[in-house]
Amino acid sequence: MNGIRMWLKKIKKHLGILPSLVFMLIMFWAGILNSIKAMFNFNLLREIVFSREFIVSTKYTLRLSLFSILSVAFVSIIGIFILYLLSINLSEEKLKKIRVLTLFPMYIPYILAGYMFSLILSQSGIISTIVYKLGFIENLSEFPALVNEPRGYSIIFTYAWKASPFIILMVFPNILRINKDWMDVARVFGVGKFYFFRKIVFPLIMPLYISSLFIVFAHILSSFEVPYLLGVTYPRTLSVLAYEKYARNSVSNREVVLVMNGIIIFITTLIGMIIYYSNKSLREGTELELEK
Amino acid sequence: MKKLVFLILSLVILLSCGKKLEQKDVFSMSWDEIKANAKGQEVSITMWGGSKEINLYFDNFIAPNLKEKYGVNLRRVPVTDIREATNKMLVEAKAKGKAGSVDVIWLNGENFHFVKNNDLLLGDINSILPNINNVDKIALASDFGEPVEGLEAPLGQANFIMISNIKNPPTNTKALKEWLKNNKGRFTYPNSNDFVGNAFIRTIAVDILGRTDFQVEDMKPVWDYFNEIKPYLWREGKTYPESSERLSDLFSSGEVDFTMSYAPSIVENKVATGEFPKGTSAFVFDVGSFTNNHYLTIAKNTKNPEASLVFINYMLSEEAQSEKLKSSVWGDGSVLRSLQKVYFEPQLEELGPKITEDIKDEWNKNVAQKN
Repeated sequence: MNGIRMWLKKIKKHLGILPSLVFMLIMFWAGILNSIKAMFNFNLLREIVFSREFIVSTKYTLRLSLFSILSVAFVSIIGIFILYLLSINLSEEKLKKIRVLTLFPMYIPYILAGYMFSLILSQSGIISTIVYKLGFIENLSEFPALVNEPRGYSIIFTYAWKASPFIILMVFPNILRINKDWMDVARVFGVGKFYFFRKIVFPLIMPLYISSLFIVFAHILSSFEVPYLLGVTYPRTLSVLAYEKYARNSVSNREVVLVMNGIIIFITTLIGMIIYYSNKSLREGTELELEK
Repeated sequence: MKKLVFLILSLVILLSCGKKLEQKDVFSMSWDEIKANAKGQEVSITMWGGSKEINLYFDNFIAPNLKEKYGVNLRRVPVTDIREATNKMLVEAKAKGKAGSVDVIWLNGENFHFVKNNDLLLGDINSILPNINNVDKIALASDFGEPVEGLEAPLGQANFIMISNIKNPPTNTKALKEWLKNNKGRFTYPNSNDFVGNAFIRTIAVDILGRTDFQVEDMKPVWDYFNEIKPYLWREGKTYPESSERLSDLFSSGEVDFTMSYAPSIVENKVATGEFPKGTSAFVFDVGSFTNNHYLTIAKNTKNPEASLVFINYMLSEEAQSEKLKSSVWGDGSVLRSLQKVYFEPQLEELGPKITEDIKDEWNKNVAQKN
C-alpha cells in the first residue's frame, strides 16, 4: 500500500508535463513517424525518388540551401568581427544595446521578411524605382530580375538578413566571456586585433558557430514560406513541391507528400549527424587548448 | 448503489434530451400558409463567419428587415469551415425524429454534393419559393457539375473576369497572341494550382478546343498555345505568380497590364483605394466567363421549415440582392437576371472537379517545365 502511495506521489510530480508530452507525441512525432513509415512503401519511394520532378527539386533545394548558408556564414562572421572590435573599446552596457539593434531582423517573421524583400528588390520595387527616378535606367524592366527568378537571389538575401542575427545571438555570450586580460597580454607581445581574432576568438566560437549554422541550414532546407513567395514556378524546392501536392482535393497525394517529408527529414538528419560528429572533435580540441 | 441509480437516471434524462421533431409538410401548403406559420419562428443560418462585411450584411440589413416584414427572427451561426456543419448534420440525421441544430445552411460544390448524396436536405424547395422565377437559369441547373434538382436556392454568383486598364483589350486567343507580340512582357497569369489561374487556363482551353466537354488528354493544342506565347509573357514565362493576389500586385505596381479575378467587385473597390489605376475595368473573353454560384439550402430535420423558406425567399428578393451587390456592403454577384451586369456574358458553366485537378499537373508538366 505504502509502496503504491509513494509511487503515485512520484508520478504526480511528472504528471505536469503530460499535456505537453501528449501534444508533442500526437502533433509532432506522429507526423514524423508517419512520414518515415510511408517511406517503407518501396515502390512509391522508388517512383518518387526517380521522377524527374523530384530530382530537379532536390538539386535545386540543396543548391539554394548551400548558397544561402554560405551567405549567412559570411554575413554573420563579419557581424561577429565588428562586434568583437566594438567589444574591445565599449563597455558591456553599450554593447548590449548594440546587440538589441543587430537582433532586429529576428523579430520579423520569415514570411514578412520575404514580402519585404520582394517589395524592395522586385523590378517595380523600391530600389528599382529610385534608380529609375535618378535616371540610371530608362525603363523599370531594365532593372535586373532579383525576385522570382531561377537563381533565387532574393531568397538568399532574405536568409542572410534574417538568419545572421540568430548566429550572432548564439555566439555573442562567448565573445563577452573572452577575458580582457588576454587581450592585454596579447598587446604586450605585439599581437594585432585581427591576429587575436583569428587565433583566439575564432577557435573559441567555432563549435557554436558551426552548430548554429547547422540549425539554420536545417531550417532553410525544409522551410516553405520564403521559397514559396520568392521562388519560381519551376523548379520548386522540395517543401513547396510537397505543399502543392498536399493542397489538393485528392487524398491519394497524401502518401506522396508523407514520403517527401520523410526524405526531407532524412537529408536533414544525415547532415546533422555529420556535423555533430565532426563538431564533437572540434569541441574537444578547443577545450584542450583552453586547459593549456 | 445510490450513485449507480443517479448515473442511470441522468443518462436517461440526457438521452431523452433533444426536441421532438414535429415538422409539418410544407410541400402541401400554400405560400400564404407558410408565411402565416413562419411568423414568430426563429431561423438559424449556418455559415462561414470569416468576413466582417458579410456578417454585417446579415446582422444589420437582413435580420432587421426579416423581423419587420415577416416577423421571423434570424440567428447567425458562424463556423470556420462549413464541413463542420455538414458533418454535424450527418450525425444528427441518425437520430430519427429529433430536431437538428441546422435550419438554413450556406454552401456549394463538394459540400452540396456531400449533403445531397447523404440525403440530408428537405427537398425540392425551389418549387415552393415564389422569387425563384426571377433567378438566372444556369444557377438552378448545376452546382460545380452536381445537378441542383431544386434542393438548394442560389444566393450569389462569382464570375471569372479579366481586368485591365488598356483600351480594347484582346478577347480571344488569337487577338491575345497578337497583342502579346507587340507588348512583350506585359501579361502573365497565375500558375495552374491557383483557382483563378486554373480558370484562365480553362477559358483558353474552351476557346481553342471550341467545346466544354474535353478531357485533359485532348489539351495538346492548348499546351502548344501556352508554349507559343511563353516568350512574350512577363519574365518570358520562366515563372508565374503563385496567386491572383500576387498578379494583382504586379498589376498595381505597373509591371503587367492585366490581372484576373473571380470577384468582380474587386475592380471598383481597388480603383477606389487607388491600388488599381483609374480607367481599370473588367471584361470577359468572347467564349464567356466561368460562372459559379453559392447556395442556401434547408436541412431535412429542421424545426422551422416555414421560417427557413421565408428567409430564403427574402434573400432572393431584389431588395436583398441589390444591397448585397453594393461593393461597399459585400460586392457579391447577383443571381437575379434583372441585376446581372451585361459584360459578364456569355456565361460558361464550370467544368467538373476532375478536369480542374488534371490541369494542375498537366500544365506543370507541359508548360512550366518546358524550356
